[in-house]
Amino acid sequence: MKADPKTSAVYLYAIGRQAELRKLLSGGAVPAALEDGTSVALVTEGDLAAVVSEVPLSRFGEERFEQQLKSPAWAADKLMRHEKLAEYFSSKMCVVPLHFGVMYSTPERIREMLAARKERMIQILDRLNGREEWGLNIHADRETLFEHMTELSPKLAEMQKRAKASSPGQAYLLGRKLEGLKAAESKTEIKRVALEIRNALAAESTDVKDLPVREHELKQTPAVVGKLSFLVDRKKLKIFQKTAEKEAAQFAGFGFGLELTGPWPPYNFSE
Amino acid sequence: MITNDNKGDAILSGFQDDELSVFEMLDHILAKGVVISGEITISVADIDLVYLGVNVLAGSIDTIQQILQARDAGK
Repeated sequence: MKADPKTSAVYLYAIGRQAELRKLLSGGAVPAALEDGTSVALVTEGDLAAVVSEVPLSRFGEERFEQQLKSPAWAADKLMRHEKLAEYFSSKMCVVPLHFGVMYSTPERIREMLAARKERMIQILDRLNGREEWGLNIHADRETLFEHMTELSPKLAEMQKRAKASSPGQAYLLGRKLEGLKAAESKTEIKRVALEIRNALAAESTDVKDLPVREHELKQTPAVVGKLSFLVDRKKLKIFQKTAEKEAAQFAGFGFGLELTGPWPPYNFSE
Repeated sequence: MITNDNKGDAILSGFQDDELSVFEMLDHILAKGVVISGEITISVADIDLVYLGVNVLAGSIDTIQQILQARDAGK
């Protein structure tokens, strides 16, 4: 790669072991690079190599890139190209996939980075070996949840029991108090259930990360109440999925839904 | 439970496919912990490693979603 740093930068997709990467790159059906007319190449340093392609500063340079990303079609196309390349490599070998938007000014800078972080990269590669990322979205339908609050919440269940055993007057008062507590209790219960699901799946995976829930996702129906990412051993994937199904079945009646997505390149576990 | 392992080509084919995939991908492909959001300074001459955050793409993501919702409403 002979990128001219005055007009272009070097975009990074992934880092892996040089020998394996070379074999894969010469093997053929490599997905397209970020920019048409450029090709996917390697920048090598010792045993390691970075999967890269050249990008023009006229679109990827300081400020320009930010402007370009305001165009949804452009951003979507670039994100998808990055994703396809990361998927291609991580499905066939062990790589450290990089998040979207990593660029270096020259191949030399990448070599320096690889040399300086060699030990760390190898540690990460060893950790990611044989594993993949799976996303989990936890949804809650607030209406259904509300209807079933007295069954789900131990606190409200107890109050209802007391109301049933009370005189009509007392039962009425307890009933009203119970209705008033439902909103606050549903928040507590959402957290409790999400944590229970998280723990069950964390036990069947290598690592777990909490992902931020976007504003509009909180407002939609059913609302997204939790987003997680798990690093899962491919050999344990069946158990992991079975556990998710079990948790989904356990809480479905209360308005909870689970959505499993993947496999993803392990972006969230590459640092 | 839904298992979505077909992350598809939604955005490349004019948002025709499975809309889930676009947003799901963003949860993974975008950096979170090391985000330089809003004030990204890609000084390509000197500084090197640059991660783009969710914030930089927020406007585009919203637009993509509006397109998808409008399409679904018209179905």
